[in-house]
Amino acid sequence: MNAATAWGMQVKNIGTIKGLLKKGALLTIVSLQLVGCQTFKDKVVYAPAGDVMQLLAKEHTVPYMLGTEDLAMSCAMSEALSPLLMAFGRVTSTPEQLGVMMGLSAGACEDQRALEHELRYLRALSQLRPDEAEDALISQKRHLVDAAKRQYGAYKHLVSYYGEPGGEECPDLDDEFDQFIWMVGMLSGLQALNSEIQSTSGIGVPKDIASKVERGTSCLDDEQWWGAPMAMKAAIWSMLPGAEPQGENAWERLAAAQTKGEDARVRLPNVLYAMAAFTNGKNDLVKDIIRRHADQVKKHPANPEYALIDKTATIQLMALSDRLWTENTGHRTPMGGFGTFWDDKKESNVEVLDLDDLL
Amino acid sequence: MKLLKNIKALTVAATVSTAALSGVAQADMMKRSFCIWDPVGANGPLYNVMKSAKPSAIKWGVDLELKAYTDEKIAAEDFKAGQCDTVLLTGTRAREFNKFTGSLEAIGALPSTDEMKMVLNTIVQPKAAKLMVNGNYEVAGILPAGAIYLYTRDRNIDTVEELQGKKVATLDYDKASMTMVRHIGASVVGSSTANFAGKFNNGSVDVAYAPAVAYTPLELYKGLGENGGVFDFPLSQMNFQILIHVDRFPAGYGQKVRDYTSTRFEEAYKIVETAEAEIKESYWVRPSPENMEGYSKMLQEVRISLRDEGVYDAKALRLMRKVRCKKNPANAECAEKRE
Repeated sequence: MNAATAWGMQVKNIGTIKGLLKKGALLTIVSLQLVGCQTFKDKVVYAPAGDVMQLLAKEHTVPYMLGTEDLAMSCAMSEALSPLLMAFGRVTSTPEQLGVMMGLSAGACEDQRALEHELRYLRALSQLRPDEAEDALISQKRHLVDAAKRQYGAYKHLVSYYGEPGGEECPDLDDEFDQFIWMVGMLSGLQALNSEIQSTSGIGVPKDIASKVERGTSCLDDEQWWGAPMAMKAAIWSMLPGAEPQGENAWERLAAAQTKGEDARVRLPNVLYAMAAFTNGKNDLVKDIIRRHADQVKKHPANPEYALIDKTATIQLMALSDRLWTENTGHRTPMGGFGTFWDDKKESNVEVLDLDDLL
Repeated sequence: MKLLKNIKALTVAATVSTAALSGVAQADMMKRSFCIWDPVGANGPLYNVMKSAKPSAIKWGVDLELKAYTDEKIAAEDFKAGQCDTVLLTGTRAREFNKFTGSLEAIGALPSTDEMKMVLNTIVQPKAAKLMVNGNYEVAGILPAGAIYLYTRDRNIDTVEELQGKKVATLDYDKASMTMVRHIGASVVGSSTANFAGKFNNGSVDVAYAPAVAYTPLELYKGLGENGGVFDFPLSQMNFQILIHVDRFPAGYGQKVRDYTSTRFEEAYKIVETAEAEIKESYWVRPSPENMEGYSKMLQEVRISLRDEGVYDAKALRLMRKVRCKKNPANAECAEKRE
């Protein structure tokens, strides 16, 4: 290597070093501005991730879950993933529609826990153990308060995204997903109101949700949604004083909705029908609805697209059946006994022999 | 064999002592029906509050079987006919079973919650038990439901004189309400708890009266619209009363239930406060102090005439006058003592 070459290399190295230094300085400046800047991370890293998560949940997770029948898993998923998914609302648009689904589903977890304590309350009462009953009732109410908060949270997401139900006009419910969210969001509102009343605590669920939902159901096509919108409407007529319009008959509408749900094999109207009957003290009708539901579920499998909704209906009717069984026998519905009741007359076609000549 | 006998004896002793310790035994337990008027039925707020009383009742030897009634009239009739051992009704409905407690909802008798609290705490004392009994009927607890207010579709109606000729949704089974509406020259439109809100909201009546707890669930704000108003003058203090057929319950049961319900007063007032706070501030129409005084005098006259007609109980009116005078001893009525 001659001197000139060595000099040339030195110059080149110096140039490279300078270039590196320049780039480094630039990078440092940029990094100093950006790495320390939360906005950069929020906008460039988290927001797209959030958008992807939201889209994934909307396009795949929700339809996937709706096609499954494992309600406990869906409830656990909602409890576990709600904070993660909803946190993206800090960096990109709040995932309101998912919030509706998550709130409803996470509320169901608390409802189920409340039911366990209600059954304990009923058992304790029938065994005349008042302290145990009192304790169970308190525990039940605590879970109902949490259920109401989650369900009301879901309703608030609905209102943030689509506006309050029951207004002059319907929101733009362009696609099926929008309509579905509109329906389950309103159901959440009704459940929140119910949970709050059962808890006998005031947690701020507006008492006019029922009237608003009654009007909001008109924004949905009753045929497309398995008769559930009319079932919601008619259930409210049967429960809210003065809500039933003249010339209408809530019970006829509920019976018609039951048939629509059965035809669609998404038997959600049965839950609303049974709730209305239970509230109005029509316990024989409640039993008939449960019997018919159990029979239908056995004979006709659920619509695979909405299997989870059909299963939810079954679980809710099972809860009602468990209440009745526990009140009357001290235990919940026996295994394989859904659709039967303790006082059913046993019918048998098997012939019985006369024992007289043997005795 | 002896060992077996001993084990048996021990088992029996253990069972007996468990029952004795808990103070509850199946044989001593009375099964009694409790009919609850709740406009929403078995999923309603009143029914659920009463559900909480079941464990306590067991401790007092009564196993209550709850039944919801959405029609108050039928609940009252079933109680009267003996089909319900105990019942929960509004104070106005309860009047036919106990004129004293049924007069606590008397028009204009208790101008604020403070006076109502004083009355409730006074009559829950064991000393007052005599007033709670009327023949075989006993009032076993009273729960406050808040003041009843006047709702008008036109807030320009801000004096009683302007109510003349206006249509008022009136509970037609309540003689006191009918008398009052006629007294001010308004016209009675017979209504029930189930349909008064609809009539007010669709404009078939100009005026309705209701407790604040009805405001949001029945969307009374729809009837108030842009121009309506809520008259900030408690017409009466609504309450719920639990009645029993005395001979069907253990001795002292009524007082125990009264003590129990008194532990629920604050809870009830919290519900009422929340409901009153939901009424938009701009809706409140505040009458002038002079007008307030005038209305109080007018309502006093109505009360006295209803007392003379036998609708209101004189003792109850006297008690409420004493309570008012305790708070405002300078009132003219305290010297007059007409009630």
